[in-house]
Amino acid sequence: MDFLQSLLMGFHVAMTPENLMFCLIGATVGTAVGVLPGIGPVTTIAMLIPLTFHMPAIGSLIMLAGIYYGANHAGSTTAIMLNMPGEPSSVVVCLDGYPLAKKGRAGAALAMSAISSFVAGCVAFMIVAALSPQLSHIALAFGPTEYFATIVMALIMASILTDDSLVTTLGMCMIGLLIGAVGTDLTTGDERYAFGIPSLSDGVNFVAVAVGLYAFTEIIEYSGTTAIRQKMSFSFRGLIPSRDDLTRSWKPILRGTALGSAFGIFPGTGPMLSSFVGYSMEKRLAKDPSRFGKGAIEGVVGPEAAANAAAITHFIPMLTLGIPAGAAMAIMLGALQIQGIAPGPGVMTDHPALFWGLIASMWIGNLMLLVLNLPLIGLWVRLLGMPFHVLYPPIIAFSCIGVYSEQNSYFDILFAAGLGLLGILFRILGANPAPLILSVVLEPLLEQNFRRAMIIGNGDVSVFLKNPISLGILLFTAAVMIYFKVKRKSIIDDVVNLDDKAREPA
Amino acid sequence: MLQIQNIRQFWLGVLFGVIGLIALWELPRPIGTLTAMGPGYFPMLLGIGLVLAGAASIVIGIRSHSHTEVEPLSLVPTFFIISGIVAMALLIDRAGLAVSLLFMVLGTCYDRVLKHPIEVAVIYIAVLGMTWGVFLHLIKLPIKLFW
Repeated sequence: MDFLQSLLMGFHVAMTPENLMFCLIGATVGTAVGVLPGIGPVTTIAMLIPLTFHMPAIGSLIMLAGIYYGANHAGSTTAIMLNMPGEPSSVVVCLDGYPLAKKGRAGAALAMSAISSFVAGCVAFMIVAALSPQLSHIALAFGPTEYFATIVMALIMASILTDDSLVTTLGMCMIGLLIGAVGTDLTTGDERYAFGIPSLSDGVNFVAVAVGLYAFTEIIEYSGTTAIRQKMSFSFRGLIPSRDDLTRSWKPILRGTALGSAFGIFPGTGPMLSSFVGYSMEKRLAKDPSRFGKGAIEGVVGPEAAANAAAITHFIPMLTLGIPAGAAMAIMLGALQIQGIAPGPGVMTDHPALFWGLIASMWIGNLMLLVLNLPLIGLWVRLLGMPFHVLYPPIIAFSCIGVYSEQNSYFDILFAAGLGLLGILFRILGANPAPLILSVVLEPLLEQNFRRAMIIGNGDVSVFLKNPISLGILLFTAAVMIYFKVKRKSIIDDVVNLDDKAREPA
Repeated sequence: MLQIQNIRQFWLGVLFGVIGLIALWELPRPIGTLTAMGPGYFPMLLGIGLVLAGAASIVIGIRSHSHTEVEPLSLVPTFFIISGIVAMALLIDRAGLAVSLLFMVLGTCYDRVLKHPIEVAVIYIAVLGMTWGVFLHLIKLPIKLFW
């Protein structure tokens, strides 16, 4: 089956009324959580996973994917209108989006942001469709040493651009791997760290880990916050951008798309990093960098395109290698496993309808987001007025029942509550839980490949350095880490130095 | 006197060390060798790694030049929200969805129960209606509505 035929089949699958409905639900829920600060796509996906137990695999994945890229797309709406990023990847959009809004050009900024997202989404969709089959073939040739090195890359790179030191990232990874090791050892059949609790003998409930570390932790963290009742202090003069906006924007959109598409492919370097680097790049390439922070349209479209392109190409490592590139992807991988589908290169050959249907749904979802975001902008802004204390009881209720329903075990809710407390401790100590979540999902794959590599290498740990591919992957990881640890300050400086100006009161 | 500059990194190191030691203390047996790993081999590597990461983190915390403080923990919301979740866990099998949700909502809305009881009652009824509709009626999960 050639590429175009496969893509056509994907559209055929994605455009059934049922899957279109799931895509619309995902894009709408994603837009809503993208607008609301404090409730991110990771929490939402974790909370809704249990609903997908009773859904078809393709429909559930289309819906969860829609939530993910919908949230990334919508986070910039509140960033532009209210100087309040809905998602971390939208922080940089505030810097020039809000000054544009204060000049009465919110409509143009929103329209350009939506157009840049859509263009980036379309290009990234083509990249996913074109690259995934090739990478799947390459992945089939991967042996245990290459897989081990790729998983190490995914875990280490999850900390790029965060405050975490390498020691903190490694520590969080090892805690996650220990949690992932709980249950029956796949090779020997012996129980590990189950403490005689039946619910733990089959391994930890992944939904409980995700809900505990994200949903419960975020709710406790935001529980003292009241609703955001900020009002727009400017007029809304239509959504048509000027010719000057379009002239200034097309190059930053293409640059941002290229940057985000490339960054999204590598595990760990997701939408947030892409938007920061995209902003820094546009500022450095600008003829007059002093315009940045005062309403430069390039400062909106460049990072927006980069973030949305990365959100889409982020699916490539998950679909082709079975290695999630971030926390949200890790949870989606968990959803895939719950549906009985073994992630990895086999997804494309064994489940072509799911693979191509999901890819096609991304383009359809992006089109839906264009329609959802612009004409309904007033609705999304009004959503911010909803008090947080009204939102939290249903979120906790859905999360608890979802966690319970996987094994009908009340212990899993208690386990999630315990992880919620651990998550709060991590937040207080400033440690990012993303490497932990990734590690829980990747533990079986990492351990199995480590075991096989050691048997092949006859117990010689230098086998990872003797294999040219695994050596290349490890060197690449080290080079990227060193580059971003050195450049991190200058990238963040480009943003932070403007931050105070951009965050003037409404 | 020893001055800890980076308190966050220091306490994170203590946490890593404690978890690593527990992992080593409870190590599954047999351990095995590199070429014939038992169920305890990989956890042993992780336990040792965590203890080392903890030690390194403690040293970094003490010797760091950047001064950081630990963010204060909001004890009251943490206590009430976690208590609400724990109550729901303990009651869902025994007392059914309606009662377990009641305790969860009371925990989550701890600061509004006395000031705005009607609002909390409305939230409870809405949450009960939603969860009954989705989980019991639509998905037909085997959860009792009442005991």
